[in-house]
Order: sequence, then C-alpha cells, then structure tokens
Amino acid sequence: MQNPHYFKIAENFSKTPGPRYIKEGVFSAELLLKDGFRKLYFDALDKGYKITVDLDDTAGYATSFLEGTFGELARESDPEKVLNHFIFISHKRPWYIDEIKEYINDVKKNK
Amino acid sequence: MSALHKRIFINLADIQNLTNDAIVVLISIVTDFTRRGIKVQGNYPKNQLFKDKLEQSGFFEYVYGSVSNENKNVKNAIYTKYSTEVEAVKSYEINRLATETVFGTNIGSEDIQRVLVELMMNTFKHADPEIEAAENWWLSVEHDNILKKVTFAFIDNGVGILSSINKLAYKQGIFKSFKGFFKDDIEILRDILDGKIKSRTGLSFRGKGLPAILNAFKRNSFSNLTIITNNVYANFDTKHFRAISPDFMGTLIYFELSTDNNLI
Repeated sequence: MQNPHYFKIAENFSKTPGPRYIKEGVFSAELLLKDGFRKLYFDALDKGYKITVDLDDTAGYATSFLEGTFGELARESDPEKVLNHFIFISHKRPWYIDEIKEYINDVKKNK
Repeated sequence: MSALHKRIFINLADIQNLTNDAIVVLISIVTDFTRRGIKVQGNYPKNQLFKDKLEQSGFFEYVYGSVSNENKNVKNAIYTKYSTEVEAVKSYEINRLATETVFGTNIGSEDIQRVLVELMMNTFKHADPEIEAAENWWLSVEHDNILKKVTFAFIDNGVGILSSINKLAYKQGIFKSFKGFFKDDIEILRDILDGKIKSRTGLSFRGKGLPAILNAFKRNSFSNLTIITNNVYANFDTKHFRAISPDFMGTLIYFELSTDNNLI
C-alpha cells in the first residue's frame, strides 16, 4: 500500500517520466495525476499533512512533466497550498526543485 | 506533372564527408518524398568509409538498397529512429548506450534525457502549430568508441521554430507587437532559448523546453549545441549565428557528448 506521506517518482510511478499529456506518450504527468497522485495530494490537503516527493533516480524530467504535475495541481487548487503540502527531495539535481517552485509561482501570478 | 511521374536521383558518389546529421536530414527528406509518391533513387558513395557509414546508419531501412553482411547489425554505429510520439523509454535506452560509450557507465545522463524528451514534445506540439503529432521526428545517434564521443542529430520536418512562433503569434493577434520587440530572426531564436519570449510577450505556447535545453548546455552536459531552423544557423559553442538561404524547413538540433562533459 502506498505510504501517503512519501512518494518516490522512480519507484511509485516510473523510472522514465514522459510528457505532459497521455496523448503525447507514455508515463505522462496526466497519467501520474490520474493514477492516484492527485488523490494523494487532495487527501493530504483534507487531512492537513505534507507529502515528501523524492525526485531522485529517474532517467530525467522534461519541464512539461514537472509543470504538468505540480503546476496543474496549483491550477486545480491553490498554489500556496501546493507549496505548503509538498516537501521536495532532489539530492542529485537540486534545480528540479527550483523549477517546480517557479512553475507553481507562475500559476500564482496568472491566477 | 503528377507526383507519380516525378523522380529524384540522389548522387552520393563523390561526397567528401558524411556525418550523422546529414544522414538523418537525408532520410527525413527522402521519406517525405516517398510519402508524396515521388520516387527516389540514388547511388553509393565511392569512398568505402562513407559507404560503410551509410549502410550502418539504418539509411536502407527507409530507402531501397542493399547492405553488405559486415555492415548489418553493427553495434554502436549509427542509430536512426523516427516517431510522432514522445518516447521516454526509448530515449533512455539510447541515453544509457551513450553514457556507456563515453563514461563507461550505462546510468544515462538526466540532461540528455531531458533534451531528447523536450525535442520530441516540441515536434508533437509545434512542428505544425495547428495539428498535433502532424510530423515525425528523426533521431540519429553515432557512437565513436575510439574518441569516446557520441553525437546526436534530431530533426523534425515541421514548419520550424521561428515559423511556428510567427504563425501562432499572428493567430493570437499579437504578431505586430511581437515582431516589434526584436531586430531579426537570429535574435528571436536566441531570445526563445533564453526564455525571454514568454516573459516579454506573455505567450504561453513556447514555454520552458527550449530554455531548458540551453540551460543543460550551460551546465556542460553536452557540447557543440547547434540549431538550424528556418533562416537561422546557430552554434551556441562557437557563438556563431548567421542567416541562411534558402530556408531550412523544419528544425535540426545537433549536440555531442564526450568526456569533456559532466555526467548530469
């Protein structure tokens, strides 16, 4: 059973995250959200806990996958809540975290 | 004259050089002609080295011709592949083979993966800005086991980066103000890669993919980043940017991975 407090993309979703939408190719951000990640986030929001997202050990991320996941959740709920309910880990490539925060803040600016 | 009666002959007999970027462009053009019912024939290079390279490249999977036995199934030569979709799993396999050749480890480079997926996505979304997945992308990867170097050549036969920007900007009714920001197409391309287009114009269609490729290049994850699209040639290594004529329809992106680069 999925630990609701910890999600490692490489182990709980795919080693090879793909594009933004399902129609564009396999292991998309849309599939991740549909597969339970959206529910995981909204449950955390309801119950008031944080989810640690571990970004390490995948083959690499396209910008659209990161934006399509965390930017999309920010559009669907509230950018501040997304920032507050996720703790990001990326030991090897820390710029992924900066990028995700930038995407969420972009949503905030445009809301 | 109908397409059925048109024939094109490609004369490769006296070529003086043959690189995988040239091969992938050639394949994409030939298959485009074939798709339109135009017959394409050609001859082999006289130079044995180039003949071998052409045979090993997979060129004859797309063009009628024979491949000698010794050039069949040559490991780590040139890999040529086409698709309309984003193939992250396949690009990871290609990426792992590349880092094995260069660094002796098959863990793959996250930045190379990012670049390949971004390029496939760009083809899916922007090769024809009005129809998704309208064009194929082609990727050719050449391994040099002696120099420990891998070269990547990616092409799509779409409208090209600059034309896709212009088309969509025009459609959104901001063409005049958009063009007014810039001096010429070279500067527009540089600004797209620097991520300035979106911030200056508010356009959402060209986002983060191309700037992410330039950032990966700045991290020294690969070298010799070269882009040819529409009327622009841009080499970000040598900082050589120039207008070209006639226009190149589509986008060709070339880069190299070697031991001079960081495995990121």
